[in-house]
Amino acid sequence: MKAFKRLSTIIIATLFAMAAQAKEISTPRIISAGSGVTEIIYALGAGDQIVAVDSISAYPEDVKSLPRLGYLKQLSAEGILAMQPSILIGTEDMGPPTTMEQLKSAGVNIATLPLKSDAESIQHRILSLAKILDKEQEGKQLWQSVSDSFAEARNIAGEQKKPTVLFMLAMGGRTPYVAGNNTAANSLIELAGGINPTASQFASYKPLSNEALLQLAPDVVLYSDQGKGTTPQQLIDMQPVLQQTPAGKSGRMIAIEPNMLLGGLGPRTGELAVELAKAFFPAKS
Amino acid sequence: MNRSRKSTTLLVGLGILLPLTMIFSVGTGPISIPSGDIISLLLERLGLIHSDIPEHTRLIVESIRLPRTLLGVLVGSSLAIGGAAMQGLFRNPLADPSIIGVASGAALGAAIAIVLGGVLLSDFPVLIQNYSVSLLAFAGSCLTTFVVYKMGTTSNGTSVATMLLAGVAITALAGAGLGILTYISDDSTLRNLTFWQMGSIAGATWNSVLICLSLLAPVVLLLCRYGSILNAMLLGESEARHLGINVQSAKLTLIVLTALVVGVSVSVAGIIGFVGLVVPHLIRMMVGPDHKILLPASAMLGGTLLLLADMVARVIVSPAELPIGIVTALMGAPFFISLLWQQRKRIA
Repeated sequence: MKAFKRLSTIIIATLFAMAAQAKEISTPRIISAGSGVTEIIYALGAGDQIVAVDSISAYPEDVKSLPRLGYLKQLSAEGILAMQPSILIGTEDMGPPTTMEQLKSAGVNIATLPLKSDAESIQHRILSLAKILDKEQEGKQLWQSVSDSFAEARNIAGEQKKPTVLFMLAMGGRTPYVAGNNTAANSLIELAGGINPTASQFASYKPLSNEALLQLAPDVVLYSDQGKGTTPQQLIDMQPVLQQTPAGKSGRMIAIEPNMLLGGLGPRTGELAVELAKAFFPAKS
Repeated sequence: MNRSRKSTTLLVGLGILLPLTMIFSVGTGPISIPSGDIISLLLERLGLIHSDIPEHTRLIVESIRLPRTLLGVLVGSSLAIGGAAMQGLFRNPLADPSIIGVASGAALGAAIAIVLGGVLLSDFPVLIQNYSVSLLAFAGSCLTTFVVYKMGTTSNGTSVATMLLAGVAITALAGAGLGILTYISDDSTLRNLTFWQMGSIAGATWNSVLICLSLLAPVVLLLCRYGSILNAMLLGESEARHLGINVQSAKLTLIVLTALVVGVSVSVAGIIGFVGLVVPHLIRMMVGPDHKILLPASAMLGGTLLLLADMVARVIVSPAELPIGIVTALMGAPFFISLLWQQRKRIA
């Protein structure tokens, strides 16, 4: 017990010492965990302060030259300490919890942002990141431009009947995984003025049988090709049953860059929503 | 060199190798720390000298590397001695704790905690929620061991063959349970599940080290005393009985002790394969099958090898790190294949 007390005294003392040290460093050294977070930091113009990212941060291109700390949920305390960060910024799901505890006891500042995928959480993420980075003006501007795009997307939709839209992960011929409620893809469909028929049935991504796919008869199919450049025709070759749906018959099948959805919605979501709204409501575009 | 001299040399050698590896392990990582610093830090903790090591180094050594190294030794030793005891008990060189379903039972328990924990345990105290994965993994390993043992035991004694078959069946059943849990879990729990199954000792804290030390160290020491009984049982159960050994109670004790070390190890570190299988084989190749040497030597070599694997895991993709189960499988599986290859030649 005594050894424990001594140890915790040491840890606390170190914590103060390191906190004091951290203030002396003039340029912040940011570690960004979560592709959405990284993207916002760049959009706010603070990308040059990032010293390391998690393994799924992939946008913008500059990120790819930074050291990688591994998967967001499997961060290593030592790896992070070795980068001597002044702050670690990430989403709620970064972990594991023991790593977070070790980092806290080592005096690393940790900022945790909410993960939810809806318009309000984009606003919250952008504004709170701007505050952390001391770029509040830039944050307001960024959010303004994103919310302007959302308004534009709503305008395009107008009073027209909402099309049903499914989001599929192209799984190379196997049963496709379809986005349900509480997914970034679902929020994106809603922001662009569509209806996701599976949102009322399940949350997260679930495999959907071909029969169910026929029955849902989506007007539009969005798909993530995992960066492979799959064309709509290739998608139909993999899932021939798509040919029998309204989306397949009219050829309204749209590829979405996986980075747009991986880390939750972000600064580029506004533009994407406008683009999709135009595809959902062709008459008005 | 005769066999007993060889054995003594091996035990002494491993006894020196293990502490050296521990010091080396504390020094290795994304931030490298000279062994001199580590030794003076330890001496300072013992109140022998005063050193001026930077706080940053001190912190990494004391709150991250030292607990991790100790946990590695404990888990590695437990898995290896558990494997050695099972191979002796089942008189089967392929036996390791996973073969009678202990590991898959633990995995199922952990998966239940990870996937359903939020729903099932929300009314329990926070302390229980925090350790729910470990607790349920341990419960899973104990339950499977009990079921397998019960299935294998009749009034005529315990049939090892039945236990092995029961283990295969339970593994399949646990696999199905895992499949269902995988199917109903969402993305993020699915990933937690996957990573848990790859094993890791990165989450070591002084708390988990103390818990493991109090549970594992006594059991490992106790297991070391079963050398002569396991030697006698190698001759066959009835022969062992003629030598005056209470075979039935020895079997029960060995099974319970093995389940305990494996269950505790799996619950803190996830699934780390091949240590329990490969280490006893290595020792047997060096000094033969005498369990009096095999058990303690396996424990020491198991700890050493797991530390080495952990160092690889820590350094190879630094600043990120690999799950240790991947490293042990990468090192263990080719070794095991070469072992089988050699045996094949011997038979032919």
